[in-house]
Amino acid sequence: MQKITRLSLAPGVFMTCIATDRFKTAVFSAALALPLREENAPFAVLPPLLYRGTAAHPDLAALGETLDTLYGARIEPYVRKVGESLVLGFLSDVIDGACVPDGDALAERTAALLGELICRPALENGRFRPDDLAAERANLCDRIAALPNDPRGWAVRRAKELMCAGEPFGACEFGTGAGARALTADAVWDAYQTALREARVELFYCGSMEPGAVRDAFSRALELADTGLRYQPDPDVCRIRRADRTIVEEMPVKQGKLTLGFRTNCIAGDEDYPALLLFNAAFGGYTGSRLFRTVREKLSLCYYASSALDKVKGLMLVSSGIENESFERARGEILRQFEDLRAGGLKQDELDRARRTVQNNLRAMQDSPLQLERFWQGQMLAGADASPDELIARLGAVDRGQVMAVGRRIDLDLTYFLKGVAE
Amino acid sequence: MTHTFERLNASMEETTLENGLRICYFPKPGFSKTFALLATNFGSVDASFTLDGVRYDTPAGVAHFLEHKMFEDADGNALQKFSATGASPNAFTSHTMTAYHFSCTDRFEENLEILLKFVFTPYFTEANVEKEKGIIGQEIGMMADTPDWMAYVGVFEGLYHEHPVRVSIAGSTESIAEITPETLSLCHRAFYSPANMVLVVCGSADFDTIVRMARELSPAEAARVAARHYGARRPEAARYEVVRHMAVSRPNFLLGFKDDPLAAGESRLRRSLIGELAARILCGTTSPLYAKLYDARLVTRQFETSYTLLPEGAAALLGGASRDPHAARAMIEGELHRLVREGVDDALFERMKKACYGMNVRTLDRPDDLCVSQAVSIFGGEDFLSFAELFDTITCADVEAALARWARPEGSTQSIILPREDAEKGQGVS
Repeated sequence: MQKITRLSLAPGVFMTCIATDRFKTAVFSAALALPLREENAPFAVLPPLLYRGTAAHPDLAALGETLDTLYGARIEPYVRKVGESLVLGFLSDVIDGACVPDGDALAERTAALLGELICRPALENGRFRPDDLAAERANLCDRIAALPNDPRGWAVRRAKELMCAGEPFGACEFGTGAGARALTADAVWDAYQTALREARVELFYCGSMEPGAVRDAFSRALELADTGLRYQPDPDVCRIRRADRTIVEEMPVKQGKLTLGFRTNCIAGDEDYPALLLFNAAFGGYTGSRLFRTVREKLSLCYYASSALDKVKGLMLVSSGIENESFERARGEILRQFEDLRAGGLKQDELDRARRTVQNNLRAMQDSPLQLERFWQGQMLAGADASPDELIARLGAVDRGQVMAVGRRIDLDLTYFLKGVAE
Repeated sequence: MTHTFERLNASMEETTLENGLRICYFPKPGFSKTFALLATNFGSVDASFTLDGVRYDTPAGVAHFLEHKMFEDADGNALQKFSATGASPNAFTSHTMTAYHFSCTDRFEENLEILLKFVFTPYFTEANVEKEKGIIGQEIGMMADTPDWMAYVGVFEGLYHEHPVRVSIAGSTESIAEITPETLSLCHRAFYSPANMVLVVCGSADFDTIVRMARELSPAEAARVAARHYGARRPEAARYEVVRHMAVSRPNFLLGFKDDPLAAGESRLRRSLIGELAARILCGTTSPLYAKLYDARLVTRQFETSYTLLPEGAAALLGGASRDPHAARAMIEGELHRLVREGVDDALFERMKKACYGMNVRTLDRPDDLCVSQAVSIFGGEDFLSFAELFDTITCADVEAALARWARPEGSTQSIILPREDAEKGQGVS
């Protein structure tokens, strides 16, 4: 069926391997994790810059040709903020060799290409090629400027930044516009060397290969020295406490976005994390939740009103798209439900429904290698080692009192309203 | 009846009930979840139809509105019934389909019963229809603020003169204001006949149980399905470009190439595969042209190609963010004309075909997508997993013929989202 193996390939270099024959696709991820800094642009530019070419595949056209030949293997460069870590990496999927007649070593060849992208970039005079750097610097500036283009995602991102202003988590993982514009060849090269030398390396594989073969494939593909300097995350749920406050900003869009940011004071590795999962679900985590049933179905104030956890930083964000004039009513109802749930209003039946939903979602996640990749990367950077099966079992033992108790430890930190001011 | 797809190491059980409801089941050994989808061949483009000799022109957005309202029954909301079992329910309305689905990891039969009951039981009241207008109004507002969605809406406005695909799937706050319980009942009667529907399940379930339950819980008799009207058809695109201004920092675009609708008897699946492959050869993210566009910073990593088939319509769509949509269009159309003139290189064709095949194989790992793809295929009279054999029949000449149709004079349109002139002062901290 499936076997989860966790290995250390070298000090600070880890691999999570899920060996299973269920899938016709294999997923690889290779990630370099570093502490988030105030300015992350020199690092954030690296994944797309590395993707512009390697010593053996000098440009995008050459990479594209190889990917096509691997039956449309995909490799996506990514930059993520996971708790207080900045994660740079490549995510790849490729069909299982057994599905096609000439599929020998499809996975090994894809792993090799991942390693090549990280460790053997196309260079000129010992630095990244100037044209590549200039283009990716411009692309990064565009990307940072484009973050507000999706108002729904932007409202949540902005709320988190405001909540954690002054903490490492408050920084944008892509860097600032000024930081991106100021990138020089030397600064980017230094960031690359720092990443190779100091990053904690998290490798992930889900597919039909045996863990030993995966380890060998990664070891052959990646040349990562044992530097003794590799980063060890030390998550802190809240470094600066503030009284709860309301911040309103405007955007020329039709719909307002209401976001409530809470500090859960609880992360994935904590004893009461399963209780928090249940509180979040009952509050706003699914269509049977309080927020869906009241703010949407009863009051018709919105299309979506939901809450989501950040399990690495210890946040819970409620988000909803509403008319500007519904601000007070929606906020009032959200907080009323929040207070009621933790003050004793959580019913046993309501808890059982939430529990079944969360357990169902965790079981269903095991069918999705891409979701598993995210799950495990988060667990590892949060310092948590529970598998989905272990979490499912622990959820079964949580009672009403524990859920309400974890709820009472949650603090409202910020009300953020992105007001729509388009005519 | 069992079909095996040897090359894919997959199988499917399939039957058609006496009332016309088609049922398919894909076993997925080792998977935790089971996904079930009940879909009707009725989407946003089917707003004008004739039923029992009477012509109806219903308000834009009615299929989507009906989707929202189906969840409510006299004894409560189906979403809440699902929440008691722990299943994850949802629904969607596309241009051509309305589908209701759930995924679960246990209590499959209970969930299937909820699904079949609520989709076949209309329950509309003045009060519950009015209440939904607030919710859908906010959904429409949200979509109107989503640049990618508005680019998608715009490309159909540019491609078609009269086709109802020109209108956004959910309609507008004005059009949905006209919807009444009677409108919804009429549409349910016209299109939720079992003969117009399909049930597709993927995961671990017992096929005989699925069939028995569907027989018990679907109407015994199939009502007559309405005939639909899509307006007069013209070969050329309606407009050269469609421009909207929104709160964005940079433009994005969607370029549409109009293709001929399916001919009578033509395989829908084969046409889709050729369309996807031709779009990929033209400007997929691994193509030579994409590399040039990316080098010139005319596209970003968020670039997509797709092929869409509608009743009486078909089109290839390509696009993403761009600092200069006109320059990107010129290069893509230039490459299209070059490919038509010089032909597609054999090696390029072969490797892209491999990649497309790989993309389709991936669908087997995603029960949700597999069920949707199968529902679309069944409405076209085919099975999705026959793609493996169909790929063998696709030649370079097929791709060249598609590209030649896309390259016809006045056959393309470009939908562009541009930054608002006041965008600079509108965003940021106040």
